This record gives sequence, structure tokens and C-alpha cells, in this order.
Amino acid sequence: MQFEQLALVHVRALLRAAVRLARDVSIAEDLVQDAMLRAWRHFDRFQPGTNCKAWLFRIMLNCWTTRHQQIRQEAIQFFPEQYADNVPGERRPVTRFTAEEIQNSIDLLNEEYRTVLILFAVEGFSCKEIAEILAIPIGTVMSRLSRARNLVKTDLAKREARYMKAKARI
Amino acid sequence: MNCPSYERVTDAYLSGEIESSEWQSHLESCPNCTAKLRSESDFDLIIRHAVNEERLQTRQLEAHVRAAIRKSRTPWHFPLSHGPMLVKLRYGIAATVVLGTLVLATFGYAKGRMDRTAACVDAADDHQEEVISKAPRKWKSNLKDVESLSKRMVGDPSIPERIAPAGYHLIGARVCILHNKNYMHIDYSDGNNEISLFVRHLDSGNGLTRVLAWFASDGEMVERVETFSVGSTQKRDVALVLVSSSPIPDVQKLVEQAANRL
Repeated sequence: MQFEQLALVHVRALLRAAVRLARDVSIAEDLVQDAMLRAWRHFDRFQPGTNCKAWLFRIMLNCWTTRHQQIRQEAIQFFPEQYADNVPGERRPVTRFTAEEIQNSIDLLNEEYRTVLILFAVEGFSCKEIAEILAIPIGTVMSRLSRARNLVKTDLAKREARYMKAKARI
Repeated sequence: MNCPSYERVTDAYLSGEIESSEWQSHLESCPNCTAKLRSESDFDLIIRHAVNEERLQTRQLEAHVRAAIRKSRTPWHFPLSHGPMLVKLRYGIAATVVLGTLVLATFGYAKGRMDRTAACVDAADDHQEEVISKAPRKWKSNLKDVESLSKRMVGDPSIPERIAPAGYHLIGARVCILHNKNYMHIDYSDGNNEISLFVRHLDSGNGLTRVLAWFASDGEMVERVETFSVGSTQKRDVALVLVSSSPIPDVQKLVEQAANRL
């Protein structure tokens, strides 16, 4: 079926972003399922030839805004299982931080910063596409993105300073 | 760090400008900006890899989504079609509306035609019985009484005199029933021949009657009923039937003249 060919292939990307957004796998799975069902019901509104992934993300973020606002402030620990989902041959910069530390830093961001960072850095949307998905000006996307990156960098620097301090004591 | 473009690297990278030839040529000649750009994009890659480290099992979720979709299928989601179902639903509704309108139009036209023919037949009978055969009936011959009756039946007291055929004068008027409807029967004479005119104010009726009336023909119609020519028309909420022994073309003219004076 057309829906399965066009939409179901994005379930993994949606879930990846949803986990970072909700900071809980089961909530993220519910969110993705809700979004996919809503997309299915309104599939006649999708214009063939346009970006299906962006359309699905828009639906999922709307679902998140309307249905999961009450739980998004809850601090829930996600499952730190290790899993490599890398594109073969992609350049991988060296970092002294673990994936878990970086994930924790991202999770500390406010939702609006976290969302644009995930959409840009992880899902590969352009600032223009993110502006359309979130229905906000492109300038706002750029400023949120810049701020999100600086906040993550600052938090990682603090983590490193704490680590070095503890190491010096030993 | 003296490069004036250095601070703009992040903005240019985020906005996608970095792909432009202007920035490309600058980056080729500026190691500071190149290093900063690499640092920015490397940081995003670090974020990406860190997020992708998380194990996500989607097979079960996809199965749940498929099951939920199957469960939520509504009657207009036909499993064999690929196109948007709403479009098909809209076409279906449009086809139903067109078909329904055609049925109503056909039925409305046929009903209107039959009603008028039935009224014409009754009018010819009344003319034969009450005017030609002079059956004993109570007629209102006083002009004031006729005007009063006209006011009550068609809402205008001047109609009997206004629609009188040229050369004919009013003899009398009375209430009669044609095809189950009350009409005002007006009798005119030129000394030799008599003409009957039947008038009635068209009632609004119920919803279906009103809808059917849209499709009924309201133009002049003349037909032969036994020895009479009977013409009928509808104008300005008034139904008019004229009965005469004259030929059909003459009656056609008389009906047109009367209708124009309504």
C-alpha cells in the first residue's frame, strides 16, 4: 500500500526523535503510534511529491503538543542500551564524552531547544523545513539551534570539569 | 581569528548559505573559518551519533501501527484502492446529488403536467355543466361580491375585471373545485359566446411540494378537452385555466393576454 511505502519507513526516525522528546521509550512508542494513525486517517491530505518525513514529523509534534504536555515535565530515565545505527562509511568525529553523557546533556535542554536540535542534527532537516514543521519563523529556528548547541557544549564542559576535579582529588 | 567572516560561520552553516560559491571560495582561503565550520558540523555529528547509539526496536511498533490501521479502517477506506478515499466519497456524494436532482426534476415535471391536465379536464366539465348546461348553482353577479370573493381567493379584488377577455363582460363568479383545489370560476360573455376563467392563488405547500414545483412547467399550455379548448398557465403565484369553444390558437392568445394582466 502507498501509505506503508511512504510513511511506515519513517517509523524509526520518528521513534528516535520521540524518545529524545519524551525521554521515555514507552511514551515515545505511544506517541509514534498516535502520529501514524493520525497520518493514516488524514493521508488524503498528504500531497504526493512533497516531503513525507517532514509531514509525519509535523503530525507527531502536534500530537506531542496536544496530548503529552502533562507528562513532558516528568523526569523519566530512558533505557541506555547500546545500539549502533550508523550510516556505513560516515565520518565519525572523536569525542571524549560517552553517548549517554551527550544524551543526558540533550535531555536537560528545554523542549523547544531539544526539538530543533534533534530535527536538525539527527534527522537532517534544514532550518527552513523545521520552520515549516513547527510553524515558527526561520530566524527563531536558527537562534534556538545556536542556543541549543551552546547549551549542550557548556553542559558537557561542566561535566568534564567535574570529572577532572574528581580525578585530581584521587 | 582576524577574519571578519569568522563570527558568521555558524549562522551561515545553519541557514545553508555555506553551500554558496561565495562561502566556498572564502573557506578555501581561510583556515580559521574552515576549522570553525568543521567544528560546528562535527559537533552535530557527535550529537547524531550519540542519539543513534540508543537501541530502538521498531519491528513491534510497526506491527502495532499496522494492526491499529487495520482496526481503524472506516467504510470509506477501501483496502484495494491507492488514491485518497475522500475524493471518491466526494464523487459518490456528487453523483447521488445529480441523480437525485434528475429524479426530482422528472417526477416534478410529470406531476406538474398531470396536475394541470387534470385541472383542465375538471374545468371543461364545470364549464359544460355550469355555463353551457346552466346547472342551478349560486353565482355572485354583483361586482362588489365578485371583488370580495376575488380578494379572498387570489388576494386581489381587481383580477376578475383585469383579466376579462377583450369584448367580453363579467357575468358572475363562484367557488369550485378542480382536481381537489379551490378555484374561483369566473364567467364572461360577449353576448353570443361564454368563456370560463378559473383562478387560484398557488399555495406554498410542504417542502417536497415546493421542490417538485421548481421543476413543473409554468408556461402556457392549450389542449383540446372534448368540444372545448382549455388553456392553462401560472404567473405571479396565480394558476389560471381558461375554457372556450374557440379554436386552440385563439385560446392560446386569450390565455397569454390574461396572464399578462395578472
